[in-house]
Amino acid sequence: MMRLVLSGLRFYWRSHVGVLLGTVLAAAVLTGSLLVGDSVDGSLRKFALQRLGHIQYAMHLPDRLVDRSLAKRMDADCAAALLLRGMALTDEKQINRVQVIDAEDSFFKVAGVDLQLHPYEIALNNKLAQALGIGIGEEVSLRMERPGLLPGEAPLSAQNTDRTVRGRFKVVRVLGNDELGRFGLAANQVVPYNAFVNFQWSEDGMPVEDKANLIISSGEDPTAVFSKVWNPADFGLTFREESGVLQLESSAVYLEPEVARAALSIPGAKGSLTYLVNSISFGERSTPYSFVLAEQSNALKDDEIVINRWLATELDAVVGDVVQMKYSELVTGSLFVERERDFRVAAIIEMKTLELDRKLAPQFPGLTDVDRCTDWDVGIPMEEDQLEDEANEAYWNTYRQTPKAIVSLKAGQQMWANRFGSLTGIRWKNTDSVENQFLDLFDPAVAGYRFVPVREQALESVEHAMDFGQLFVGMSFFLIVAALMLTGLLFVFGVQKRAEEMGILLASGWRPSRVRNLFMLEGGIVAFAGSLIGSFAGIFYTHLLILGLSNYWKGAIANSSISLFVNPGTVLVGAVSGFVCASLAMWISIRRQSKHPARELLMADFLQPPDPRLRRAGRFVAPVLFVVTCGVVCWALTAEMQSVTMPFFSAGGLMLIAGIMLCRDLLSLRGRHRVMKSPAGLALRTLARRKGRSLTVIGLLACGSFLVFAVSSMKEDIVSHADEKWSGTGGFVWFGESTLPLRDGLDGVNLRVLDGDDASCLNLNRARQPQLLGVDPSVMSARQAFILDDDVWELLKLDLPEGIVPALVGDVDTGMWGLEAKVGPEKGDVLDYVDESGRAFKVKLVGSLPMRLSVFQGSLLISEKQFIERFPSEAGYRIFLLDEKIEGRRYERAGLDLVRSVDRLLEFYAVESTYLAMFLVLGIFGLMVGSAGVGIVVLRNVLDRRGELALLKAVGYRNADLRKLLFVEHGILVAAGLAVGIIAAAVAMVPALFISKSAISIGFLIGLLLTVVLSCLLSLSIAVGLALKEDVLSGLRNE
Amino acid sequence: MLIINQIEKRYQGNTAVLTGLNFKVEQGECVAVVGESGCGKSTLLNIIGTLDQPDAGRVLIDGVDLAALNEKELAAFRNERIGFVFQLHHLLPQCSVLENVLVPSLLRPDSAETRAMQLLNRVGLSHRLDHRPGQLSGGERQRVAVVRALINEPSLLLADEPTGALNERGADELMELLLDLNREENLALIMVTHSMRLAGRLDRVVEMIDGKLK
Repeated sequence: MMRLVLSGLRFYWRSHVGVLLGTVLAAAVLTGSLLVGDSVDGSLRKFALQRLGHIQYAMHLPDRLVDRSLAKRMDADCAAALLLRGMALTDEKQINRVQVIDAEDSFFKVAGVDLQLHPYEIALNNKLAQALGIGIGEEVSLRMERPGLLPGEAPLSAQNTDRTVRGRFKVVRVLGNDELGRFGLAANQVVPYNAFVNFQWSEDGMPVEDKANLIISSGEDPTAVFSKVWNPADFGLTFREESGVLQLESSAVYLEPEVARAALSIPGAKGSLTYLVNSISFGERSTPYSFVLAEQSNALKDDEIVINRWLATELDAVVGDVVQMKYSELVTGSLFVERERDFRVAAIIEMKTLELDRKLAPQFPGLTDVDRCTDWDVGIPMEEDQLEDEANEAYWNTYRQTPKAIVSLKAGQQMWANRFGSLTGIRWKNTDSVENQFLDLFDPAVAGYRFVPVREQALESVEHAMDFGQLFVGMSFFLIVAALMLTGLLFVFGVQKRAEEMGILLASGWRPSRVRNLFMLEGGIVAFAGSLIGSFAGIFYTHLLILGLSNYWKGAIANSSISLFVNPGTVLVGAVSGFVCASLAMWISIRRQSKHPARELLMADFLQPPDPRLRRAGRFVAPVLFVVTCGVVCWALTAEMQSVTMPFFSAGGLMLIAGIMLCRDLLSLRGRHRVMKSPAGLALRTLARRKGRSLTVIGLLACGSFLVFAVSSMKEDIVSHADEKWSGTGGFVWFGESTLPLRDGLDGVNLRVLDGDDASCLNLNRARQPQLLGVDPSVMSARQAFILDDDVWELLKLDLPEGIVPALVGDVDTGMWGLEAKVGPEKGDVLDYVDESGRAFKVKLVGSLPMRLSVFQGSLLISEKQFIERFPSEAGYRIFLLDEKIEGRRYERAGLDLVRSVDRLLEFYAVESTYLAMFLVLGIFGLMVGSAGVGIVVLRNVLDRRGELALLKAVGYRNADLRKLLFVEHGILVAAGLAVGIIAAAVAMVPALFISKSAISIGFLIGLLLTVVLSCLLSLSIAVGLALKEDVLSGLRNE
Repeated sequence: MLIINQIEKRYQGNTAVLTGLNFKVEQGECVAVVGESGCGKSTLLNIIGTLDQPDAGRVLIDGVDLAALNEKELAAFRNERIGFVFQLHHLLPQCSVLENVLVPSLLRPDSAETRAMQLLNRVGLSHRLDHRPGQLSGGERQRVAVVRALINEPSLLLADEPTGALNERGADELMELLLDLNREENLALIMVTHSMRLAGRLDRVVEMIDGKLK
């Protein structure tokens, strides 16, 4: 048998070359597509490793500070830095959203970069240097957030001091991607703007000394070492002893919940809370702005107050009198409301008795460190004339922060506890072993001081990143199928040509299976060779795709540069898949052919009338499918579906099958028509003769034109509805994003921001913890912004059990693709987050903004109330939705960038638009293969029918008549294929047009149609020209 | 009606096939052309049938010099004046018997369906009108080919070994049919054959030797 196989291969080498080329094409496209996936994965992995250098673990505390010495005490593999948001400025330019890394040399060493910076020297990454247009030796200024010990919105936090700090630096190095130029902790392939400066500078220019908010480690998990070396001072905690009383206090004034829990569990602990009240009054007499101490005391009821002698005198109050206390309560954000509470004077205490309380009073920057009351700079609203009260000034000068009154801790916490804490100190009279007990009881990890395996997480994000291999296989699917159909077609031609041989073998007693195996073996060898060559040619195809991605389709990979990564396993998979697919196509062809009995094969006449029962049944298939398609379209339109994918592919697929079946029926009908009246009738009769061949061509062109036209129609016109409130802009004209928060926001809708992973289509990595935005849902509801039917903002007010925070996904695409998550009040996915104090909490995706694409793509929206409860230190607003443009220069110190909302949408849409463009190009390639298929079919038909054409010539047909006949014959196939594809695309697009309100460019579609028709006609002309160039009359010879 | 004067034909390699051949056929005359394989019989038939051109010499049919006709006129001339029957029937497998017969007439505006039916009835195939070639015997197929050749009422019927693929009985029947039609239609018949028995039934037998008819 092998001998026969080899001689078959030799003798029919011309046919086999065609089959081989088809297989090569299919295997190359398949392997190439998979290799694109490898390349994107490999590149993302490279980016992830580049952005972290040698860093394995990191403790990043965006809103808190730790002592820098902590890193030194831990290990040689650890280093500390301050990671700050800032802006870079030259005389001409300002670049916002710069990541400033305030580091010492050990940081670079640990991160694996050979870099040394002296004070006032700066290293910029390439991206920032290019954006600023500066190089080594030139100067640049940085303005960055001023890290503070007390959160910006905390009561009694200084407000008037500049919250930014500025320095001028000399550029000494421009860092490439391999030199930590990509440094960043978020899983994102987009290079941030990075500026590295020396720590020494921050000590000179910052209000905090020896502090850091980032500790990195390049060694083993540093958690164990960390747990051994930390001390309370690392977290700004101090044990202060005054006159035999020990007090635990925090440089952030308010004690964090975990600190308070650990300390209060030490025997003898008594909590205290000190606050500055607005006034204490009795009758007509009053004193403004007084420190009041709330302390744990059994002797004091919650409606009782102890006042000091000075106050008793000032108010002329005695024991038993009821005094009124006015104070500012922090209700939300930085909004204070003045409240009043009455207390009965339980005792009057002498001033000297309060000496200890004066000494133990918390230190409020801007309050306790100024000389005059009028210089006080606190976060609560104050009245100027009250600050100038002379008696109060005299008290301040004499007694400083000595409390004027004392209330019970419970009463104090009822009045002044806020999201930053409910204690300013914890005191012990017995000081023995308190500090040691605290070391045992306090768990920094519970308080959020924990190391995260950033490298592992980065690689995990890459692992779960979008599968570009799958994407490209999907996009090249038609091209692959077209190549396989072409392979099958060419193989069928070869097999049909050898029908006689097949018949002789069967007539000689070969079993059909053996005959099939013989042909299959021959085809298999060709398929194997084709797949092998194709899989290597796939590397070249990948090169082409990467070239396209780097130059024309940058949007699809968010402007990242992708390098070629070839995984031998993938090449093997491509080769095997190509071989299997090609073999399958051949097997189907052989099986169909070998079904004919030997007699028919010997006569090479396969024209048998189909089973009439099947024919009758088949007649109903097309109409039934058409009705089902209409049903799918109506259902998609009425079921309020968000995604067009399912109805598109269902309706499109059904319509394609219906169309092809209809063509089959029509061909059968024409085939049975009694007498043909013209050469066109003869053409139809010929088409009906080889229905399989004709339907393959129709199917090839129909699928290609369906994809190309449907994809072209999917292009949405983002701009046309952008001013509508239900659109992705919410009706807002401007979208603002500031580098540093604006405490009072802008005149529009203001959102708080917790930095996180970008889950938008611009990030190729899988987002683990998307950015959280805090928004006031009532404001959005009132403006009807982003509302299509139901008010989704109401979902943010849901009271979920176990403190779960309800969240809305930024848009439908973020939920579907960015997070691949379910959304809904019941079935919504739950994500894990950690609040500012280190406590874990859950965020449930209760809904999504109803549009496919919005300005919030990639983020989760939660209510502002929930946001500030969990992230009290994230002061102010960083995202703004505005109706009118504001003067940007006013906010340049905050690094405010304003873009038109529609431009932001277009930026996101560029990704989808690029995918569509890629799909279109690959679809057009597929159509070209389809057109080539038409040409090959024409050539093959002509060769098969040389005798027939010669006869026609002999009976008086001219070459022009024959050309016309062939054109009509194959033109009908082309027209039918295109018509079926275009009608299917039009039907499939109906739901998309209504659901996503797509806008189709008719001009573009007509242009596309003309291009496709012209390419088919060209292919047809070439094939007919070539076929008729030969001596047609040779077909009359008797051999 | 056919006058061939001093025609010559050479093929690739400069092999002379026809060397100054002269030949005349009268209207209604039946002539058999015999000769060894490869002697140029089919070439002569193709030249007479305007499917090929001589390198030299003239061919006149009904007084029309074929050399003076362009491709379009030649095709029309062939369609109207000449009928062909080949050894292989060259029927279109996708078409029925009736349709195969009508193929040459498709180029003409008027319908030839009635004549086709009459001719098919004449050759005993009226019951096979809707059958396809695959459903016919060899003799039946060749009869359809003959009817196809006559559909446009040609004045000259050229038959290139029409009985070559038939058995003796089938060959005799076809021969009979051709002679009957020759009489009924008053057309000239030139038949190339290897069979001296069949050739003997025709009016005249010429033999091709060394590129000439004798």
